Amino acid sequence: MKYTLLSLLGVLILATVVDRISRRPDNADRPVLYWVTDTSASRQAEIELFYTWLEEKGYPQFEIRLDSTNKDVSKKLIQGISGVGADLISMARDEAWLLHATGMMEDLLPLATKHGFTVDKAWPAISDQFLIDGQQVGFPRGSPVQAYLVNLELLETFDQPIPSRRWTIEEFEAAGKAFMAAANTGDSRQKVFFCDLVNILTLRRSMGRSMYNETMTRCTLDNAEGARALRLLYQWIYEDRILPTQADLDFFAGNDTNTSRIQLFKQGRYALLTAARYSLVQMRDGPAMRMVARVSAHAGFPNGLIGTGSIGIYAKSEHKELAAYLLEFFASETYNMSVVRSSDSMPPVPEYTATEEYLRPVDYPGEWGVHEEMADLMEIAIPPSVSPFALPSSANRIEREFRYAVLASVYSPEEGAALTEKFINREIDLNVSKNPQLQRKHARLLEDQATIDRLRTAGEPVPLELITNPFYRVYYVAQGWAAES
Amino acid sequence: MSWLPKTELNPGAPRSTLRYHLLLTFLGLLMMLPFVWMVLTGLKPLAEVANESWIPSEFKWGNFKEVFSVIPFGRFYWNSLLVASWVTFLQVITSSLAAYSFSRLRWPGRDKVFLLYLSTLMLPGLVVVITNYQIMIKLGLVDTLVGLVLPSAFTAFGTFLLRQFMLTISPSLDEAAEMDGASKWRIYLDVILPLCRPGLIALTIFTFVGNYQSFFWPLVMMRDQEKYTLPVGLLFFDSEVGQSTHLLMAAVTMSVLPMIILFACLQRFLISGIQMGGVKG
Amino acid sequence: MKASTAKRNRLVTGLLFLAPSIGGFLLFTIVPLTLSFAMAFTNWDVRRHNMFRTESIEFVGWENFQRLLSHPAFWQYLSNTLFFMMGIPVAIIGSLLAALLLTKDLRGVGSLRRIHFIAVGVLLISLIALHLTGFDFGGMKFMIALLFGGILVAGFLGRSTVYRTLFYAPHFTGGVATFLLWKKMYNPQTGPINTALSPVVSSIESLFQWLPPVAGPILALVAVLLGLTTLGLLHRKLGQAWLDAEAGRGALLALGLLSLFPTAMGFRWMQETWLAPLWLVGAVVSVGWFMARPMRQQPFRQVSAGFGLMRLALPLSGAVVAALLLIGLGLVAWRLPLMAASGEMAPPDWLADYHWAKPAIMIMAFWAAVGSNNMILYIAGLTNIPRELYEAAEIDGANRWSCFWHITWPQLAPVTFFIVVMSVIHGLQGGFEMARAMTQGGPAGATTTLSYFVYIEGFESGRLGYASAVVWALFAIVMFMTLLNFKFGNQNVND
Repeated sequence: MKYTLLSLLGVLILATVVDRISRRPDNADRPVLYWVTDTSASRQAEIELFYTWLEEKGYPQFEIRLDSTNKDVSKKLIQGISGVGADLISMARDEAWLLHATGMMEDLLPLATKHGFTVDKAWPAISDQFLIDGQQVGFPRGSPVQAYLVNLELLETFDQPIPSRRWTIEEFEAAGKAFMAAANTGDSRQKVFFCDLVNILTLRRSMGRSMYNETMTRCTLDNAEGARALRLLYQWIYEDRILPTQADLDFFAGNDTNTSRIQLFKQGRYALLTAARYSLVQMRDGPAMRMVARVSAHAGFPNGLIGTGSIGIYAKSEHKELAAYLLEFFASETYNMSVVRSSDSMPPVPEYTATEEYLRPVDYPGEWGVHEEMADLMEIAIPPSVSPFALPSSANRIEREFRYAVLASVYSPEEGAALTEKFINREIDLNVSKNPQLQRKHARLLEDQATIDRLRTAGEPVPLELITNPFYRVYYVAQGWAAES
Repeated sequence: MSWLPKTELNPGAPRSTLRYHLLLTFLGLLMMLPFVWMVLTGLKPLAEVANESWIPSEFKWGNFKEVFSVIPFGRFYWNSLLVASWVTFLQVITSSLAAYSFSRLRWPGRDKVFLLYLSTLMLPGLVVVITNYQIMIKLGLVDTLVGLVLPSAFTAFGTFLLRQFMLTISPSLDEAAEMDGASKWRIYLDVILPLCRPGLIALTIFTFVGNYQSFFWPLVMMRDQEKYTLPVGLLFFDSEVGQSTHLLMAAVTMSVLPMIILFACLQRFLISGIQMGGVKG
Repeated sequence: MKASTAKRNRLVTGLLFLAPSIGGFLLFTIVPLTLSFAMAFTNWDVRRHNMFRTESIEFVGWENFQRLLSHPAFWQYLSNTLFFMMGIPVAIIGSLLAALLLTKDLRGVGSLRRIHFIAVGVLLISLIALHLTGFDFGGMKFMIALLFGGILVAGFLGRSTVYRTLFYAPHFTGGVATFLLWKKMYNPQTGPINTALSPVVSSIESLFQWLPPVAGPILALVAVLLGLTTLGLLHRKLGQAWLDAEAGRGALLALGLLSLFPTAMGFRWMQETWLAPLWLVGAVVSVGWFMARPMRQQPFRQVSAGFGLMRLALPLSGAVVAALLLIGLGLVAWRLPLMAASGEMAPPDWLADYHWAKPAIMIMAFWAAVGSNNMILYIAGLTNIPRELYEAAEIDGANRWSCFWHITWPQLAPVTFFIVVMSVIHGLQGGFEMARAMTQGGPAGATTTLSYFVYIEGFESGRLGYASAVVWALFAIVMFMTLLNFKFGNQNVND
């Protein structure tokens, strides 16, 4: 036994030595930056394009390595606060809030001004989303807007009309029922669905109600609209059967790339698919489909949803200047036109969507109805409301859990809405009570809210500066409730 | 080795043995089914992954090669094997020494220290992750092989397991050896350790398999892609590489091979080679 | 002087052996643990207390613990954790059975040439057919036959090695890969489980549409009666144990209380039906008849109050779980006619369905637990039992069951003890990776265990002080359970 163990030890030591020797030495001739993001093929292509652009512009050459095992916020967080974060960090909106709060993200304002990637270059609907507490946290590499892709051929097969551009939920329901009846005649089990999901956020907003109040100091879901939205969802899934059950959605929505849903869409199982422009990348693989894009049905106020992911720079990075070049690249024409052509997302800078190449790509005539409509949608698209007082991940988790519970008939829609509000407000209270800075801000904003409420009840116009909720900023203007300023 | 009275099991009679084989085969098949599904999915082209049928329309053996080209699979393999081997080695050696101390030697405070060891098993590793990570940073061991190996090599699990095994060895063997003038170290090496072989083998298997599959700590520790272990590396497939489930399954199939080989080779040592006949009273 | 030198020598020797292990142990385990313990009483929040910020951490005393107890979902998460632990006795029994099967000495081939030929023939035919008709559903049957034949042949040739590797196979795909695998298997539309279940469910549906609606309640009644029988047998065994002096008064009291658990739960589940009072009455009668009556008599020998608790606890838990399972099935049967009539019976949505998520996880856990480390430990433990004991028993004329209950089971006590302790510990701490990879704790918190809760709180919110408090509260529970185990379980271990 002694000899077995000793020889094992010998083998292990030998292996470790071999391991050390065989490691590729880092080529220290160029600085190496790490970018935490995903590694799809398009990301690699972007990097290659970036290197070309660097050369053209005569900027210093350097290497970017993609670090992407996952988009796990916990890894970013742990590494960031321990001082070993990556130089460039991709963040979803929720994450941006959390990471910024730790102080690990650099304030990009000076670099942005110098390199030209200030927030006014991005889509107006979301430009102020990249500013937190007056600091710029990042710049987007794409601004996806959510819309339905409509399978025109499928609708024609069953003699169904194309939904109108700003269709109401009554039209949606009627169209859905008619489609389901036509497409599933004689089947014991439904195989084809009208659409895959309805986003409850846009639905609720179209009733004029956001998740938070105007100053985002309290959650406001325990009301008629909150309950109605849940009730409608339940009805469409379980009573009218125009949407598949939550079960199917969970599995498809759980993964980031919508591959499975897209496969089903291509096979003609959905007439409408919730997607964004990047889904077209997968649609282009295979026989061409004729499609248009449509926004979700509304219950009074048409609105769309736009994503606010961005790339930021780590505060302890040693290569901030170099990292800034990548962000400058995202605001450049080279990059934006490549996004236009690859249809990987909406180009972060709006002006490029007016180009012919964007609106009518030569190789994909079936898509013309999609691009144009999506550019159009940007006019009514609003970013999600993220309250500084409740962690988005917690708030979203709570909302999702109660929504599922309502759909599983564990609670009634009214109970579900009331409980969601109660729990989210509890989160807000917890966060506020723990943090003196936040407490002061909360108190100040509560005063503003009181002012807003007073003015509304008196029917007087409300100054827009008081409103921080992005939805209400748009809604108030549309309803004419805002003061001219 | 059979625990049935001899009259029941007749080695020559085919009937009971065949029935036995059939039973084991059936159960074995059941246990294996998810595994089989995994292997078959690894052989499918991507478009068929979501199909109902388990059998691919064509056996794409090329998937296995494709895995190597999409991610540095060979590198991950090597890393995983190296780390798991080191952890196992260190764990087995230190645990057996410690277990001997806890089960065979009497010293003041022994049982209290053992309780302390035991109590550390009861805490989920999550919360110590951050502190451990910062210790690693201070030691300059982030993103290194050593940093991966060290925290996992010294858990109380092995000590607890081996102590239980050592407790089943009769003390009279110790006494006999002591009367022959052997030192504690000699007793450990020549008497206890060989008798403990099933336990050592079991611990080897557990530690190797457990560490080979461990996910969270390597995820947190490693930054350089070249140093990832297999479980972390496999995440490449479930994220945004177009969700290539077929490649993921092919990769997982290949990654379980070392464990199967290790187990198949070692499992016969689980059976103790020496019968202790007559000593137990 | 001599005595204390000797004592010091022993201490030194003891510590010397301990030394290699304890160095790393102190640094990587004790230090972080102590820090985390301290943090549980502070307001450490990663967003505010890190290298970029200059705020100092404040001591907040018991506040974190108070917040934990008043968290509305804490009790749900705790009960989720405990629910998953209900599978432990079944898992242990399962792995014991598997180990028993796998330690028989298998003599193989010899005169079985005919079987050999047939098996090889099936193999070859299946292979050819598979290649030709690959994507046909008939291919599945061939594949199964192919596998079956293949395993059989391999088993003849390789004997126990092959079978043991097969049984341990679930463990190889462990960790994240298993979860991903099962997640795909549980997929309601495309996963193999529902694909296989669909025709079965359809035929059940047609069956129940054809049967009169009273068929459902009748089946439910049958299930309840079976459950009562299980309980009755259990109580009878307990009563017998009292008379045979295998268990003390205290132990029986505890076990009796434990057996009330399925009674209460069953009553709650069935309260809408007339089965509930039946169940209740039956259970009470069973306790009275089988337990209370014998306990009035004196056993032939006095034993301590706690004696036999651990020995009987395991089979008792198994019986409890079985009874609950039967009631569950009964409830499903009750509803079958109604579901069939609506014409929409379908296999459940498993992980996405609020009511089926936990059973789905339990099934997966059971599959993983049978062929797991416990089985290996039992194999090692079983082969450690000296043959002489069995030979002696055989001479005394003992039958198979006696051999098991009086020789094998007690000899396995140290191993069982280890397994029970580790299972309880893992059970209370577990569910984190599963939740992270498979369900994200949903739907609606149905699969969130306490350790996943720690992850959410600590890593997704950054409130590490609070997360530490949750961890240490969890630790208190685990410590309590382990101490119980030690106190009552240790008696059969020689030390």
